[in-house]
Amino acid sequence: MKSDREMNTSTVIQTRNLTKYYGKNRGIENLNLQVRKGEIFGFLGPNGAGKTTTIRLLLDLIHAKSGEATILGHNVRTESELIRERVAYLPGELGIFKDWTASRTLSYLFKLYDRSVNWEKVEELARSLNLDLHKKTRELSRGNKQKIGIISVLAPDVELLILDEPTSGLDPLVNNEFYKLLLAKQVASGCTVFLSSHQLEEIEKIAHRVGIIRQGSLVEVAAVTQLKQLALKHVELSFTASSDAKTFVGKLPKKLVKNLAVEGSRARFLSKREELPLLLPQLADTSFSDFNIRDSTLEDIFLEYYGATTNEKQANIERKTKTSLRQEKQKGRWFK
Amino acid sequence: MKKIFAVTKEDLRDKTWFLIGLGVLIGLLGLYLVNLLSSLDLSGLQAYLDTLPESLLALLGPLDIANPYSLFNAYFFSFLSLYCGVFLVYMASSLVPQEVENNTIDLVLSKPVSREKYLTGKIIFLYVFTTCLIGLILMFVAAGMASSNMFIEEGLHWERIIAIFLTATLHLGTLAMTAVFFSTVFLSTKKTLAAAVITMFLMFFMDGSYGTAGAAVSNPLRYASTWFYYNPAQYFGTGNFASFPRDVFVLVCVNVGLIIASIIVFRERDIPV
Repeated sequence: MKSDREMNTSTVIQTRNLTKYYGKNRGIENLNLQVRKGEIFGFLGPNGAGKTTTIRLLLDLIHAKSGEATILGHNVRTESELIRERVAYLPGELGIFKDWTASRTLSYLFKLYDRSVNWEKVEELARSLNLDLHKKTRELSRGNKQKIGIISVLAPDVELLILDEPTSGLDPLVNNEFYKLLLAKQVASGCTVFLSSHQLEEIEKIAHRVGIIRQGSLVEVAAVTQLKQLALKHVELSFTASSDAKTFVGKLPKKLVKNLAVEGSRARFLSKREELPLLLPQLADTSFSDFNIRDSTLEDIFLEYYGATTNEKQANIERKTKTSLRQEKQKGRWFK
Repeated sequence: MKKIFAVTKEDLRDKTWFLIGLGVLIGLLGLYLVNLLSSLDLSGLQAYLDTLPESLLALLGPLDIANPYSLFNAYFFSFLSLYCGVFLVYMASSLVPQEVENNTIDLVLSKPVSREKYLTGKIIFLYVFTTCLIGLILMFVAAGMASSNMFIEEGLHWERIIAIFLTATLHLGTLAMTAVFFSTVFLSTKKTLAAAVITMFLMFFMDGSYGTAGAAVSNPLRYASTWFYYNPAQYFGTGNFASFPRDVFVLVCVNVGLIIASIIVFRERDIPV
């Protein structure tokens, strides 16, 4: 068992029964969270789940009703300034000084650190993100304003990055560039990243572990791969004739499949990984043109935890199937 | 200190032209009034004043129209706190709440600067702004006095200008700090402005004897008004400094009290999204 000291060095963020109410409305309730040193932790949840409340509590922008939180071994309430010397934060709704240039904004923010921030690094980041530092922020698009925030977190040498919906307003190209820069920084410095988002595909690509927050409480924390292993597999089949599809579906043990759907000559369903070998023999007497098994995406898992209604799940599955069909068609792999 | 001054510096940079514009405008008004005194028909003015009711005359304070200091005070310094007070209260009311409303405060307070340092930076800016504003205005007035035969004949009493500089700055400081205190309570520009302006005029009317301090006091409420401790009619008009130490002491205490209260409230407040 690890000692407290070891825990302190290996745990970057720790909350114990952290609770915050806004009047009678729940912000978060008994939130217990642990983020380890050097990991990228994805913090998932829809609007109103308590993601931003958690982050604002960690940064002492708001105060908890009960419970406690530490960052890098320091209490967030009593040693906040010490913490923020070692942390960089990108808010979800980035406020920017409208009459200032990007250069002035960043220079001001960096003056608030005790240590100096390398301006060459700022210019390098601005070049990578294609941002004109000398333009007034009122002349910048939302995405370009967001880039100022991104530079403000990537330029300083800190041990923890707290990013709240960092890519909102960014176009896909800049989005990719941002994650490239973030990963490069994380690999080079070994810093910890606490990333809140509802863009599950992004979290899936970048995060080591994921925490799912629901109605102010953490409902699951696990590695992305671990979560996906636990989740159901998506099976999609395309038969040469619709009769084959019906025959196959008729033979399937209904207890072993979920969300079974047949559309003409195509069928799809969900199944547990370990039960797949029991289902595959049913294909022996049928003629199929394509067979596709894929992992659940984080979004599927997320919806599972969020207890989405069947309709929502169905709509989600249909949307995903359409998307995957379109992608497969584009690749020329669906119908050979 | 580096962080505090970083906050102060950026606010000053934003408001430099406003400071210069306002200072020059009010300063020029002072310069014009100094020059106007020598062209006034004093006997005609006395005849006009004789027709006014006593209660109205009391508003102007102990007025001796033969004395340029007394006359200039009645025209200018008695109302200086109102001219500048309105602008200062407006600025102080929006200084912190505007950052909350524009969400820039999240960006700043997530950096390693404590709330105390951040607010202190803002407060220092307000004092620097007020000091520079009053200084600029008084430079114009002093230039006018130095070139006015009326003042030269009466004698150039620079100590009166210094007394006005100190007490006007402290008095305007109390107005600005009242606005800062309300801004930490409400964190909203509109609510702060409303509360600060109401308080300012409430204090003004509570004083009641505005311009006549030193006269017989009948209303005990006036002691609670900061306007009671700003007496340009005495320092500048008559050169009587008897109440000066008391006024400075009270105004300093009010300023310090409001600063401490603002910092305590701001430290405990949740910053709204």
